[in-house]
This record gives sequence, structure tokens and C-alpha cells, in this order.
Amino acid sequence: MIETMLKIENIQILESVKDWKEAIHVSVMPLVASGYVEERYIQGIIDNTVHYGSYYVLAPEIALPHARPEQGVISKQLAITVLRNPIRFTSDGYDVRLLITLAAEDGASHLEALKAIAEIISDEQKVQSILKAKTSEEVLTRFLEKTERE
Amino acid sequence: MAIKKIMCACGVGLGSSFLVEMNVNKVLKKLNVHDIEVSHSAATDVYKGAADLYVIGKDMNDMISAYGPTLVLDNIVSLPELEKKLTEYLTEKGVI
Repeated sequence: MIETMLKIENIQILESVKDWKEAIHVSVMPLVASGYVEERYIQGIIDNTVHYGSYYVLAPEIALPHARPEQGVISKQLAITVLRNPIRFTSDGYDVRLLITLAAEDGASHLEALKAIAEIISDEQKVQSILKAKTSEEVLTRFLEKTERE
Repeated sequence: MAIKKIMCACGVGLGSSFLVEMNVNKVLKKLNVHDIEVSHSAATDVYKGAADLYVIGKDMNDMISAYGPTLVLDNIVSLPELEKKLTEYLTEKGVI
């Protein structure tokens, strides 16, 4: 399920971004370029952030930028941005280096992928291995490989 | 007051709130509580009386606390934090 929602061309490793708005911009751009969201999706997330705060910063290191389907989603997909230098969305917030951008078509079709993401981000070792990946291919491999659990 | 409904709310009701809902269900199962309905929603869809308890991130508290009791998480995906706070809350309310 998650395999069909994450493509190599939507994974990128970047050195740094200058502020949180740029972080949102660059983390959504691959989905704009590959036609999964309209460009206004970027502004949608920024506007939502101004209204609701950075609701998508989930845990230390991790953000899941997303807006509502009607804010510009064309079809469901994920993008991953790894930042070498962390960005903060609020001065007292977490340092974020892993941005998993979500485009959801409706309230339900992405939930299987979200379950898989929940497994990944609750596994600190896995998150660290993704952050240390040297190439997009390695990010993809780390992201999709099955976690060994009891 | 009996607790029949727990609603997990976040900015747009698609991502974070669903992750919290999954964790709430895990905790309730562990506590052997089966008669509480759990849902997720956008902050803008929350209304007074929609649920008996709202589980939210700390950035949402100003907005949601007007609608009813809130359980506020510092780390929205931390299962240990949720388990501790939800267990304390349900104990205090006499549910468990």
C-alpha cells in the first residue's frame, strides 16, 4: 500500500532551508512537479499553519506537512525531504529534519499509508537510519523495509 | 460523568488526529475498555458536546478547551505519554 504512494523522484535530501515557510515550500514541490498536487497546496499548508499552528509537527525530528484534499490535492501521494540541518516551526518546537509530505484525496484512502508511517516514526532507530541515509534510494529502502519487531 | 466518546482533533483532521486515534484505541484495548467510541476530526469540526473528551496536541488547547474536557499531549505521537495521561484521566473519572 505505502509502496504505491512513495516514488523515488519524490524523495530529496537537502542541506538546509532558511525558515519554516521555505521548508513547507520545498517539501511540497516534488508533488507539484510530478502532478499530485496543485501549487496552491503549498499556500494552503502555510495558511493553515497561521490559523492552527504547526499541527503537522508530530515528534522530535518529524513533520507530516499536509492540508485538506480540497486545498489542491490531485491524487494521493507522499514525498520525503531529509534536511541535514534542522528547522523549527516555532521557537519552542522540535528540531525537524524529516518531512513526510502527505497529499490525501479524501478522509479515508490514505489511512493505510498513515498506519505504516505511524509504525515508522514510532521507531526511533528507523528514523535515525533514514536521517543518516546518503542517497534518495537509501531513504526509500530504509522507509519501506520491514521493521523487525516482536 | 460517563465517557462514551473520545475525539482526537488536529488542524485539518486527516493526519495527526488519525495517528492519535490509533494510539487511543491501542491504550483502551490494553486497559480492556471496550465501550468508548473513538473518532478523529478537524479542529473546525469540533463542537460543544461532540465528545466527552478531546485528545489534542498542545497547540490546539486554546481552541478546543472551550468545547469540553481536553487531554493535551506534548508529543502527539508518543504512546507512553498518551497511555500515562489517558490512564490517569480514566482512573480519575472512575471509568477504570
